[in-house]
Amino acid sequence: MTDETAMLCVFNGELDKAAVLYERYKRPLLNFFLRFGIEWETSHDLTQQTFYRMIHYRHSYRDGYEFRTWIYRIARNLFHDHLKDNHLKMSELSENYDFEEEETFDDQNHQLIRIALQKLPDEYREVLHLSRFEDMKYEQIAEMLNVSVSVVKVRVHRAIKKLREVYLSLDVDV
Amino acid sequence: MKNKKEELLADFLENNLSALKKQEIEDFFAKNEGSETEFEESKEVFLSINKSIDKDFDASRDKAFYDFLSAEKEKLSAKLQTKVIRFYERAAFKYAASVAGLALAFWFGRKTVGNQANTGDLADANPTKIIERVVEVPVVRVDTIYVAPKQLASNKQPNVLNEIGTLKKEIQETKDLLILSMLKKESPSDRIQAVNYSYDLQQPDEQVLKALIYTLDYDRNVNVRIAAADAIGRFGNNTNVRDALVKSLLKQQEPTLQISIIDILTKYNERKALPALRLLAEDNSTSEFVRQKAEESTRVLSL
Repeated sequence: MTDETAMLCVFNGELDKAAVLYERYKRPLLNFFLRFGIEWETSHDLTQQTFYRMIHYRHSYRDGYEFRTWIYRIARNLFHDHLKDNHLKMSELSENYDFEEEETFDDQNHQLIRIALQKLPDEYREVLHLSRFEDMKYEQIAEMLNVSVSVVKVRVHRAIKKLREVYLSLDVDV
Repeated sequence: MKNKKEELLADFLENNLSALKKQEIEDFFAKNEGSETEFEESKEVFLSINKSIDKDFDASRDKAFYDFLSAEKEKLSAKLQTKVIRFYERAAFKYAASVAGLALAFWFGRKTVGNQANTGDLADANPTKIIERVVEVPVVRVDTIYVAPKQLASNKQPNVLNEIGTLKKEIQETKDLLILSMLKKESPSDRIQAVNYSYDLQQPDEQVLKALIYTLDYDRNVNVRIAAADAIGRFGNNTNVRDALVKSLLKQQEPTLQISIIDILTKYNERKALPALRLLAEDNSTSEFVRQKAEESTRVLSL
């Protein structure tokens, strides 16, 4: 059963199918929040709230929507609500990942890139996050952010340019 | 031109290029000296943004989701039942039920006459039997047919009923306490769960209602406030609840919540909401959709 079929079942009142989507997406969504720097406990809460909203607003889902983009849009809205409610800015969040676990990467380089990412303006950080960490295509990001694909591409380019500058300045400091 | 270059770079980074796009980029490199190096360097930075290892979701938290799902399923089935009841409330059904009631009354009447004809014999033979037959006559109502249960003489029955009553009261009190304590929890999921527990209550304690209204007005999480609005809507026949909802309407900024409250107040025909609805409809900062809803409800309540 595809995500879209399961969601259409939920839309039509077969709420049991929400469990299928929950089991498929609870881990990616948890990591979506964690990678933005939300704490472990709160990331779990936001993940669950994403599914509460999915059920609550099931009637706003339309046949033909890509489920993954739709649920990530809910998650993104929750993330921004969380920032607003707690008077936080994206740049004030620091990623809470345990780098020791990531043996496959060049640790120092990886860490510098992460620090550089945190220093980017929110709109740049967000497109890179969605593209690189969530493996989203520009079209999906555009739909999620409700902007044109061209805007996403321009943002990605500017984000990379800025990231390169910040990264190089950090590299010199080290 | 600048945007075109930026878009090309973005396509190049995504590495999902059609033959046409590839040609376009090669042409661009040929015309713009130094661009290829810039593109390659940017790509290096882009690819060095590596994804960390995914963390597992804490399975002990699954219960909260599955409890929520069960509560939602119950709510949905309760709604479906309400629809069925509404079918029975239709005028055609009421007429049919009245006719059936009259026919039943007539049939029982005939039967009773038949019994009365034999009362002399029966009274002598078995007086208890007559009492049972008289008690078995159904009470006919227009919308529902109640058949009076056999009134079996037993001294134990009132005690059992009292015990069941006490037990029900105790369960209700425990649920009230559980809701009150869970509404104070830090986690929004727990607070939503607390609100969902209120669906088990036929008539919640005044304190629980106040706590739900407080949650609707002041909870810092919009999902909890939305859940509270849905839950409170079930008790719209309570005047205090409606008064609180009228006050709450002007406190809310979230369009979803404003719509939920307007729906409840309109459903219960609460005319005290009219001033608040007019204020909302005239306020320029109100979202367009809410404004339309407020105007529509003002018309309905003014009828």
